[in-house]
Amino acid sequence: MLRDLQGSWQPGEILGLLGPNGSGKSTLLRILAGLLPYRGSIQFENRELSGQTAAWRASRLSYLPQQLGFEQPFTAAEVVMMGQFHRLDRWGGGGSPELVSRCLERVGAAHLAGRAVTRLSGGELQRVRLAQALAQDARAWLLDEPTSAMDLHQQLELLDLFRELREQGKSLLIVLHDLNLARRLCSQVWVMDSGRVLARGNPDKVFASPQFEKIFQVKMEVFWDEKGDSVLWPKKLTHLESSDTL
Amino acid sequence: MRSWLLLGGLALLGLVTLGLCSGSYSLSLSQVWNVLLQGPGESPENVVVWQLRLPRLLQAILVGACLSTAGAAFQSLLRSPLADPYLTGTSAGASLGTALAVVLGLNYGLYPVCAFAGALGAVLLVTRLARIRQGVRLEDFLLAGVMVSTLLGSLVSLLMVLAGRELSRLVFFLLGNLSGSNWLLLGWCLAPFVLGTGLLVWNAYPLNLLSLGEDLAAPAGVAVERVKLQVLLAATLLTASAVASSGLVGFVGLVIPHLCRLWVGPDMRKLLPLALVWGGVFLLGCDWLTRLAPQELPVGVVTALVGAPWFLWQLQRERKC
Amino acid sequence: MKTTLGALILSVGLSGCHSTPEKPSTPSAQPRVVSLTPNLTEILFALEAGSQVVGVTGNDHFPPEVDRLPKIGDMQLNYEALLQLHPDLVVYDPLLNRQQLAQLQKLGLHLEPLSTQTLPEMLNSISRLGVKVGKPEQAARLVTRLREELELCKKRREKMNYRPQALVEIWHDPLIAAGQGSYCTEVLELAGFHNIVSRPGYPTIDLEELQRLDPEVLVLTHPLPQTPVWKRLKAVRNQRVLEISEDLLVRPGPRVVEALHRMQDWLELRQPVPRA
Repeated sequence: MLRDLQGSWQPGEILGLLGPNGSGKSTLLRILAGLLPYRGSIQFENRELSGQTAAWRASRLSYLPQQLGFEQPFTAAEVVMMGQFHRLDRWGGGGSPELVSRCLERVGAAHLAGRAVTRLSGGELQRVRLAQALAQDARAWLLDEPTSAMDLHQQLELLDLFRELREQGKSLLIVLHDLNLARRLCSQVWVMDSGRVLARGNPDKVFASPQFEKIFQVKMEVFWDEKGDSVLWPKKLTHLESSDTL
Repeated sequence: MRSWLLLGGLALLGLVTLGLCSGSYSLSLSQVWNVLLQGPGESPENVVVWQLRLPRLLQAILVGACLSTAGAAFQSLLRSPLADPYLTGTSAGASLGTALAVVLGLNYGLYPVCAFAGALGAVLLVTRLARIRQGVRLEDFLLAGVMVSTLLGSLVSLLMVLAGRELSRLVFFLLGNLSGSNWLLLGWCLAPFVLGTGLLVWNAYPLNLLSLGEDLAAPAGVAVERVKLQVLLAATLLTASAVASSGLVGFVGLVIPHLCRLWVGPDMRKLLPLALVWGGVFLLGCDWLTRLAPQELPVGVVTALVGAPWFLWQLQRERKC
Repeated sequence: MKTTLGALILSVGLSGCHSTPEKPSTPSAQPRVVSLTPNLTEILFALEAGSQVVGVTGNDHFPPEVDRLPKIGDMQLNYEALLQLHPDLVVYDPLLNRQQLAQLQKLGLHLEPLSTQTLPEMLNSISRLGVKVGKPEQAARLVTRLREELELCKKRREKMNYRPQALVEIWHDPLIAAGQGSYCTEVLELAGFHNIVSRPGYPTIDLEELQRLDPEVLVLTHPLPQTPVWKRLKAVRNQRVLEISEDLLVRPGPRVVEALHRMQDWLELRQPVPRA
């Protein structure tokens, strides 16, 4: 249940969504993806989202749910091809195989093309699904914890991919847990709790705000590394201290 | 996939020829051929071929194809290899329709109509029950299917007790039986078959996406609710027409789509034509076997007797690969 | 499967006799009787012992008086209802399935199996039943009358020149016919027909076999199915279809005479079909 939600999100902007578990981040993403009904108004390109056809949505918004396995042994290439669904004919023809291999290559998964998706590891799956989203080529992306199954190297590659998408004018809405990742990537973050957005704005400002500390029960300490970049280090608040801050 | 389809086509041709030439009325291949060229007529040979064997063979193919494609659709839609066209309450509904017709003493010709109405009624009830929130959740659908089947099944048992001497008809119906085939029944079956398979083919590619999960299909542009509804409707039509004409022939709808999936993978665009052909082949073969026995057996018994070991053998082989 | 169905449908036994240990009975002059088989009920009434019948099955409809009697089940027996009637004697045909028989034997009832699979057996059972219910004279008279009637039928048969091959339909879906050695066949042949079905008992006939047999006469206990397969048969096209009430034909009892008369009247009115 989400309440009193207001906000906007521009082309070429990466919006970070943070909050404790169960705060409504994934619900917000599912609503935007058209998977859940909503009351009120959500507009995309000045059109009300709920009234649009599935194909219209698919060309505007793509959605990567949080870790989701596949039960049907389609090959990775077939799955990526399905990303082009809104551009294909009813029988699934008319898609571009070159696009499929380009997308797989872009995420470093060209070697997986012929493999059954039921036999992939978590990180491999995540890359196949990113390739699928690339093939869908929507104007806005909804990503639910895209880094969760990835190792460090893959996470950095992912950051590059997101930046590249931003350069292309795509809008990204990303659910994140890693604050430093959010600071490096997002121009704006929203912090949610109990279905409301309690803080929003520039990541550095938001993370230092008392609301943030209250929501997460942490206190931020800032370090500087040798290059002069700042690093946030959250510290657990004891119950006493947290009542002090109120 | 091509070769499997071709093989299926050849098997159909062979089994039809075999079926036309075997039965308790002995006819040679050339006699059968001559009678076929003559067209329908009055002689005993002619009646045997045109009124008994031919409609029965076509009915076996049609029913096999109906059940098998319906099974393929349900397995893909419900993402469960154990899904069976009967789990949505169609079988129980059709049984209840027939049982009512028997108990009320309706004309024999009305039995398929009653069975069909019962099957559709049951599925509508299941869909209504599963539609608690917006859209049909498949888990709810399965649950409602099981509950409605159980409920209707007990009503059938009640009617069976009341049916008394007419019981044998019901028993035959419940075992699945092709011996009542005729052209009229075949005609009745054809329209739902064309409509049902047409709808399934129309939704084959969207079903591929749907089988990956609704969370993936909807954002990719699949009109999920419409596809689900159309597929459910199509599969129900197919099952209902099969059940109405030939009773409860088990196993075809479970095993054949499963085997076809082992052969060509999960792509519905390949799976549907293959299931269609092989469903026909399987039931035709089983029906031929029923006529080899000294006493004609209900075909439903043979499908299970043949189907189960074959299925297990295939699974075993798949494991080893 | 089909044999059991056949048995269900026929309500006459196809299984062998069971020898039941007889309980030493306390003979009373007018024992209260429960009949578990419709044809035995008919016999009881023909013996003027109808007033002693205190219970019958749901399948009993003849004579009309039985409709008022308590029913103790049909396919399934209601054992408590049976005990409630306090019968001195329970008569049944050995068709009764073993499970039901075992259950009955546990109830401490006086059971009397009476086999009626053939005409001599039936006559024999009438005599035995007469003794059991205290109507030996009536039984003797009935048996004598039936013997004479059957003898007359035989004589009448000798005079007939039309002795066609016939198929007796007992059930139509699936088609079950009377086969060799069955009670129906005995009646059929006594009337003057030959049974075309060579298999024993009450076999299921598939429709192709029906086409192959293509009997000259069809004896139907149910309405003729209106399908091309049936309509094409020689018997149907030549209007050689004899419809007869199922109860009359398949229930071995005093009404067998009625069935025989009906069949012989029909035969006498017809001539062999001239060969085309």
